[in-house]
Amino acid sequence: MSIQIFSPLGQPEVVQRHAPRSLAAIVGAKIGYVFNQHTSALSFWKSLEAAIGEQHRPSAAHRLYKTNTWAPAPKADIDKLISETDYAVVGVGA
Amino acid sequence: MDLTSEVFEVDDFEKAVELCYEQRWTDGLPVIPPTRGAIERVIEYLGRRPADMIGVIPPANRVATIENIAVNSVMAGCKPEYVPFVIAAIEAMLEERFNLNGVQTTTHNCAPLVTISGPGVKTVGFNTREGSFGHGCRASASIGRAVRLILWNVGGGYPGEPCKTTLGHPGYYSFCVAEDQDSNPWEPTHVESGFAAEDTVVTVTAAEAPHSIATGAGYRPAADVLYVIADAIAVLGSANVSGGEMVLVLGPMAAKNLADAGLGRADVKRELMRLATRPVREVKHRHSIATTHPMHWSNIVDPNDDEARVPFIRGPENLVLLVSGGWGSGVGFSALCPGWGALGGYTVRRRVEFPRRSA
Repeated sequence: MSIQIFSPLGQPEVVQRHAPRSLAAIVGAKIGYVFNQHTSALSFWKSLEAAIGEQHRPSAAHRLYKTNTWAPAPKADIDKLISETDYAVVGVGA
Repeated sequence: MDLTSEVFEVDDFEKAVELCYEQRWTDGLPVIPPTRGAIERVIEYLGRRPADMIGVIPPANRVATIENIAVNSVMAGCKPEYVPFVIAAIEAMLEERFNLNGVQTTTHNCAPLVTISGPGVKTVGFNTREGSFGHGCRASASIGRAVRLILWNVGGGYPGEPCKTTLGHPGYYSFCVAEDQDSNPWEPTHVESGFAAEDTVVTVTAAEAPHSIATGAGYRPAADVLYVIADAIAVLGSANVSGGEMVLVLGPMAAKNLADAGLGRADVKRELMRLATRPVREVKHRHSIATTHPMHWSNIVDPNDDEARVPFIRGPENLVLLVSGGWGSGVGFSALCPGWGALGGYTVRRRVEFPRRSA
């Protein structure tokens, strides 16, 4: 006699995602920096921002530095960043 | 009953156990193969629909339903009447302040500790005496185990990818403890959060493995007991140097010592907040979270004052305090489970909703 057993995994969450859009050029565009402020990446991030500023000369820069290194930033803060920028650089140190 | 989980067919029990390993449905310990009859008994007890959604479990972001919670609970060895505790724990962990995605993936060695308090502790038969954190009790072991299997199977918290815990700890298999109200000289732990004493409440906190504390409660005055506990809390390797939360389980001997000295639960917390500190000259040897983080200790004490004291308990709500365990010896053993610091895993409490039964 056979035994039937049931998978414990569950189904993936179905999420509607916006189609990605491309920028014609990032030089002179408005940039957002999203950073989790992990200690291991502080020096790197400072250098990265300087390099981007030098090479791509953004017309504006907005920073969303998370106060909780691991938790997602508040949605309102992300929405604000999206409304103010053309693209964002997201950095997660760990 | 309409179950939608994928079904596998095997020839016998041994092959069913092996299939669970092959499918990576378990983290190393054997599990009970989840058969239709066992799953249906759980769902019938709950009186809910199999498709009822509880939430999305990170980091795999699969959907936890009554059905797959029942499947995992069967695998863990739960009786149907244990599963409301499992559901409450999962719902609590899905609240934002718990930051389950971070808890599941951090390099820190924390796991969700499930604490049970209230009358349901006796009704269901948790062990609250000798070995209350560990072996010997089906309710504690299998409820903690079911929570872990859900985090594993539905949440995909596999070691290495994506779970980065550096070492983990044995509580990653099962991590559950219940409060012993018979030896607790104070109100139940959940009452301080606004729940009624007659509620049965699940509390979750991301925590390290229990660190034993020999409080000396059978021999020494309350001031010494508090001093020793505070010393165990304020260690430089603790993530609580950046605040955050922790669970302190007082053995009955230690709790009685403190209560006999006229200290209430709030008094104990206040004294531990006062005593569990380290001077700046020592704390500055500890590399902590970024100084720009609002919880960094330099935001609350002067980093240039070597004698200023850095508190490890920032507020009374950051210390979960309960009474559990055997009376033991005069050593008055207790246990501390440090938390994940300022990064999440913060305590969330949830009342256990038992199915309503008609008379």
